[in-house]
Amino acid sequence: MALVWITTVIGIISIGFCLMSVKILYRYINRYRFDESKYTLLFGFVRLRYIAAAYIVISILFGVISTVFMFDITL
Amino acid sequence: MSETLNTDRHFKGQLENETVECFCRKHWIVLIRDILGFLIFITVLILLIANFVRVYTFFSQDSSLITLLAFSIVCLFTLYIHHFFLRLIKYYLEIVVITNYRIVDVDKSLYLRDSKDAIDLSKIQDIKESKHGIMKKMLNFGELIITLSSTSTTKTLSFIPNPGYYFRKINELKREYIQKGLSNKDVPTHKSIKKNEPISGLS
Repeated sequence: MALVWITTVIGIISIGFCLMSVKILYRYINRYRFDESKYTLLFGFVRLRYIAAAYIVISILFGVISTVFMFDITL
Repeated sequence: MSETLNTDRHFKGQLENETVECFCRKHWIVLIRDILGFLIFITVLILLIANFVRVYTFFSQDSSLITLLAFSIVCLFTLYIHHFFLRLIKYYLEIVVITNYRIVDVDKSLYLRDSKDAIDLSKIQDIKESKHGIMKKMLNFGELIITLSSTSTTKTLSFIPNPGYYFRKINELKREYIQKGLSNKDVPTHKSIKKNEPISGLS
């Protein structure tokens, strides 16, 4: 049972860490701006904000699903 | 007055008269291992979801060892997600900036690294473009090896995409810099520098 609560805490910390990382990232890229072109983007089209969005979505989804899964198999 | 100056405008440490001519990131080949790893991770996740009933039955057994295994897997997956995305973000933050004065190699990550290595254009004795190997030729990336005039040391910028362009660009800027010297053309004016003027990557 303790593991379930630890998983919940890990999930919360994980989501918090992700949001903090994205906040720091946006503060930096808004401070030092560069005009991107297809020559500077990853594969010519992947923008940093897509990466940040995917990071937030995947972290939140995985945090929630893993916590629910751990609760489900333990209780 | 401060609106016309470029101090810290595009990168930390930018000088007031310094204008960014172009910048580049490393070639995507540096991420190939991480991307392949993430694809394997996604494949494992899809397989787990596709066999959810079996996975659920297995982990629902009343055994503390199996619960510990599930906990370990959750922890590892969480760590891996963060590792992968922080690596991607690091890729975007590591840039090579070529200005009218110098070449700045920004080595930055979100939390742990923040260093800059600058080479003054006037200190460059020789620049060499290197693109050896099938992969480098096919994917058009390589090294720029810069020899400094004051010492015999070299600075290598590796995994530079389209190195021919940057080779020509640095040579042009070096020639201009030497011709101009430190004439009055370098002093910023209200006409020459506007606030929030975009800097193009290669265009």
